[in-house]
Amino acid sequence: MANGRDAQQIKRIRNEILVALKVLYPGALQADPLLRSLLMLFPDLEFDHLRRDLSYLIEKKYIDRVIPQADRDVEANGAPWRRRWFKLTPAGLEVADRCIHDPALGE
Amino acid sequence: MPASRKKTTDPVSKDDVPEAPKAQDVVRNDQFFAARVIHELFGPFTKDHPELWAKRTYLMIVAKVYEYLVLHQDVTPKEIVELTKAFAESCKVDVGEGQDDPAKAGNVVDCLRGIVRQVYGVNLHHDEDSIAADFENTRDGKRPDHNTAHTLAN
Repeated sequence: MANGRDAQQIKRIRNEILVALKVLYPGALQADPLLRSLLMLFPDLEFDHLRRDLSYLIEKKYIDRVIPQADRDVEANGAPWRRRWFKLTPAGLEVADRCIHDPALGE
Repeated sequence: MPASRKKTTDPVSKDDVPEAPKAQDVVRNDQFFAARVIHELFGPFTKDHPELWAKRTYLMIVAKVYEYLVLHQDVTPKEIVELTKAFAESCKVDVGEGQDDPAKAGNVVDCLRGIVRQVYGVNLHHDEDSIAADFENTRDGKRPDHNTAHTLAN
């Protein structure tokens, strides 16, 4: 149990993040529309949970933060989380496509 | 009433009633549809211009397509027109800074106009009032169904 969520739900949410980003690959999606997309499936999801899962997936090297050229000088690292862009890495795409299996994300 | 008789008088057996689709299936279906549209429209387009994926305006246009198709969020013609204009301006800036040649940048903007027209039915060459009329006429109060993905993309 982490922050009131059970392991099964955490896995499902992390998988859904990968699937949502797969749709746009090699493009990126901001955290805010990503959250709204997930809320259709997990109405109780809170943004803090999503932020935690995004951090986890970044450290697993399944997703990357994208900083658009126009933002690089202005708000590179200080942009609020909801406005940050994220994209799948090749490793993340392999997991999303089920080419490789990660037990930490598996059903 | 005997059980056997009751069974024959049921107007519709439980097996005949299709189950309502699960929320996950509905979302997955929309995501699949959006993936096809985005891949078929933007995939070939960005093959020759991979640098576009780092342009904020370009990312926002693709994200608007995602929001429209998956999140069922209304995207106003004004929004998409302003984004595309901003995108065109940023391409011109790149040309000014020598990062791109004018013909290539012009081609990128023209291609994007075509894509926006295919997805939203909005013709960016018109003034904003006629854009709004085009948009309403094309949508006709409906979202494209999943079978139109291929038509949209061609």
